Amino acid sequence: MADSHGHLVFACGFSLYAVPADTASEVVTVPSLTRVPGAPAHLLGVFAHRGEVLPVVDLTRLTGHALDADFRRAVLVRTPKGAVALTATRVLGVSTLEGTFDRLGDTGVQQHLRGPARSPHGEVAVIDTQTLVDFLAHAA
Amino acid sequence: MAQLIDGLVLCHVGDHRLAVRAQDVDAFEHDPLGATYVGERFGDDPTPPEGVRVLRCGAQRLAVDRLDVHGGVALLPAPPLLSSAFGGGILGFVEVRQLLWPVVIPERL
Repeated sequence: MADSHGHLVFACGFSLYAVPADTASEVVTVPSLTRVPGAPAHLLGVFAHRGEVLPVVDLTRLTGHALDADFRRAVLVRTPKGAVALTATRVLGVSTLEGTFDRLGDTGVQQHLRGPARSPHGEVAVIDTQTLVDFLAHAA
Repeated sequence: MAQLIDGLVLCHVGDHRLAVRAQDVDAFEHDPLGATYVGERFGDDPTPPEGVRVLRCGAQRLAVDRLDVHGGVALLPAPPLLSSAFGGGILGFVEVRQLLWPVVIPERL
């Protein structure tokens, strides 16, 4: 099955992810972050961006494949329930995806990843941005 | 319109920082006995180093490495993702000296 909407495909660590292009507002360079007391490990911190405080979530930690990396880029995703910057090691561009969009699991963050879908760059996990932000809010 | 905070206590804790409203602080003390070292909330060693300062805030006593008092500043809202974190204990953030500081409610820290 082909997805008629474009997705922004990006790499984080050894995995490829995609978010609906209409929720990806920009790719940002991550400055020095402010840690938040009591925050879970996947919440790297926050930074101010055009007068707004944005949280940065490390996808490698969130998915249990932590990399000891200094992430300098992030994909800023906006949903009606808030914005979040998702760490990225490479941004590959907007693509049409093929394949299936079933949940990759029933627990944890896997509930918010869909696939397996294929992009011109390889197999991707499609992030359900709406439900992921809800999940992150409850995990914070 | 951004909410203004009249007075802030800026706290340095290891490599981290946070702020509390001056109105939430009853007293500054030196004796760390029985105080919570705030570094613990950032995953640091819970044992306070020598020479900490202690903020007494109601029943809560918080030990920090160093503190400064700062004047009025605009409060930036916390991201929705953090608004319910720590029982709503993060009031928002302030930008002071080109750094971002989380403003916390001491009792909920």
